[in-house]
Amino acid sequence: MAFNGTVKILNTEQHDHENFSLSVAIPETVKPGQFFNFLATDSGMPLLRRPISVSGIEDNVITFTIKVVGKGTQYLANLKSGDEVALTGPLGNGFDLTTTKKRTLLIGGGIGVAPIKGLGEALRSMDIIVDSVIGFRENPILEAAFLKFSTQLTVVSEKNDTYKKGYVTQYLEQILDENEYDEIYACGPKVMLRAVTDMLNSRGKRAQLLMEEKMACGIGACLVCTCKLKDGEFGSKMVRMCKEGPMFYSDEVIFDE
Amino acid sequence: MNNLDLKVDLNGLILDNPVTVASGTFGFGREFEPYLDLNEIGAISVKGLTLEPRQGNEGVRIVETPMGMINSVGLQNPGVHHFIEHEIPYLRQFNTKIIANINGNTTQEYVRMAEILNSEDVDSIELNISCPNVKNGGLAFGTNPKVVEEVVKAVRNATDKHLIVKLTPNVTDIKEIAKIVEANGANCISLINTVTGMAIDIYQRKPILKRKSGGLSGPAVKPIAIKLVHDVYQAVSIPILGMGGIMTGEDAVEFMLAGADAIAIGTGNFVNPTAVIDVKKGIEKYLEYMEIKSVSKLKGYLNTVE
Ligand SMILES: Cc1cc2nc3c(=O)[nH]c(=O)nc-3n(C[C@H](O)[C@H](O)[C@H](O)COP(=O)(O)OP(=O)(O)OC[C@H]3O[C@@H](n4cnc5c(N)ncnc54)[C@H](O)[C@@H]3O)c2cc1C
Ligand SMILES: Cc1cc2nc3c(=O)[nH]c(=O)nc-3n(C[C@H](O)[C@H](O)[C@H](O)COP(=O)(O)O)c2cc1C
Ligand code: FES
Repeated sequence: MAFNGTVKILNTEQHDHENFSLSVAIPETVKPGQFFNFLATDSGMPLLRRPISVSGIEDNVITFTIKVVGKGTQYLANLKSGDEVALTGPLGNGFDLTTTKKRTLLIGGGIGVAPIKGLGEALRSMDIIVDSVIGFRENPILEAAFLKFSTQLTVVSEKNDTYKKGYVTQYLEQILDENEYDEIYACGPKVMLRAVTDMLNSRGKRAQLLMEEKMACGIGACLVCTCKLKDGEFGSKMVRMCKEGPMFYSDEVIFDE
Repeated sequence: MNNLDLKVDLNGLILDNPVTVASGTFGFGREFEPYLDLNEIGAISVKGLTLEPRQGNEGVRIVETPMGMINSVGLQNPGVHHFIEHEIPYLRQFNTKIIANINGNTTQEYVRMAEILNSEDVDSIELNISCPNVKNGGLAFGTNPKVVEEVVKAVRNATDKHLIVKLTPNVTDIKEIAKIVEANGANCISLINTVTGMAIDIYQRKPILKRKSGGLSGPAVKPIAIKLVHDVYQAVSIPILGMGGIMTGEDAVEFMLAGADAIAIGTGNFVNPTAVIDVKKGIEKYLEYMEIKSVSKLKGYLNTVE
């Protein structure tokens, strides 16, 4: 079942000038990698709901970590604890946590580290060894949380010299050589997911990718959020990012352009 | 509350209440079952059907615009046979009317679909004439009066089912089209389909949608829809199923005052998965407030005192 209604905000936390977290209590079972669809307005504008992944799950308290990029996310950033917000969820398939038994590698880029953080916490509580490689344009977010659950943590930045320089994919090869992972999970910009996929393909490996696409309904009714998969009756198959996804295996996705 | 009469008669298609859902915005109902009681819906117009399954358009399929959205889904659907086998039995569990929305590239395709559905358990066929006509250089069937006459007549001859013809707003004279639809045996007219729209990414200097343009829906189109419903109301005497940007009970009442007998919610379902229930409650509240007992009284019930 999914919750659809209004809840009070329990907590908010500002991470830096553009990233923040908020927490709410939801009476449903939520999995890492699932998302909620937020009504991000009290004036009707913007019209469509905003999909946001869960970044933390503690009993019934669900945390979201959000980057302000426009009107909707700015509205959410302005909410304070005690304010009400309307949301629907949990939505989507989420990550499959049953495929890892011993040691996992998590890959996150930009705000894509948000759902990866929730996943890492859940895997750690299952006694899985978790290594993480996370990349940012400038300063990292949620670094403290990653330090807590990661056995090995690699933080990469394009601009901040206190961290390893460049992109996560530059360090991936070495990390994969050093350790044996029974599952790999990734979330981040499409270019990163694509580079990760190419690298894993060349090593005969695959990852669970948490993908995103513009959405309208978020519940599988409108068909605007497609992901193209290999095989199927047309030689390829259009599936719904919001319903069959947002998690897809890297070896089943067709990256266009 | 209890003695309000919400029944409407769309010329043989009798709805328990005037709130229906628009084709392409409600799938086949399954996705909404967790959120609302499908028995509460007057009728469900299912995702636009074609003879064969269609994969739909490539690339980005949506642009959000001020109080609206432009879609370029491209009629992705599992085909009419899948609908008959898997979706009709599902929908029949509920006390709601089933409207099969049919789409074709040619008149023959529309006719074939009407023939197939004629012996199936659907309550109505909705002929979507906003599809591009392959024979006519891809111009929508619904924009050319001669083509409208041809396709409506042919489909009418192919089925005894209740027939709704769904009009496109992208025409010069909607009254002329509506009259032709009525004269050729349609039982009901639904409108509006989406308004043609386009958006450009100014930094890439490229249209956002691969096919350049798509269909605009949502509150942004409501005033256009109200005007066109009113035009059609003045032109024909068959019932009207009005839609375009309905989000609230007030919006629904506005459509009925303009001349609609019943209404459909489209994009509103995306923003609020329980929109059907909320709109229905809003209509009831209005009826009580205005001390009107029967919703059918609202059709064209404009105050004409100067
Ligand atoms: C399944 C899913 C999970 C998501 N999880 C998170 C999350 O945990 N935290 C988070 O901060 N964001 C997340 N997002 C992205 C978030 O939904 C968008 O950033 C948000 O909808 C933007 O709304 P806005 O009104 O602030 O910006 P808009 O005014 O709509 O857009 C501002 C700018 O952001 C771009 N943009 C808008 N939507 C997206 C999108 N979906 N993907 C990429 N770029 C976009 C626009 O093109 C534009 O340039 C997720 C998206 C999806 C589909
Ligand atoms: C994503 C989407 C898909 C649609 N698909 C169909 C369709 O298959 N057949 C059809 O007749 N109309 C289709 N429509 C048009 C709607 O049924 C409706 O006429 C239009 O959106 C106006 O109503 P609204 O503003 O309430 O959405 C679609 C609209 C949207 C937004
Ligand atoms: S957003 Fe509507 S089907 Fe995915």
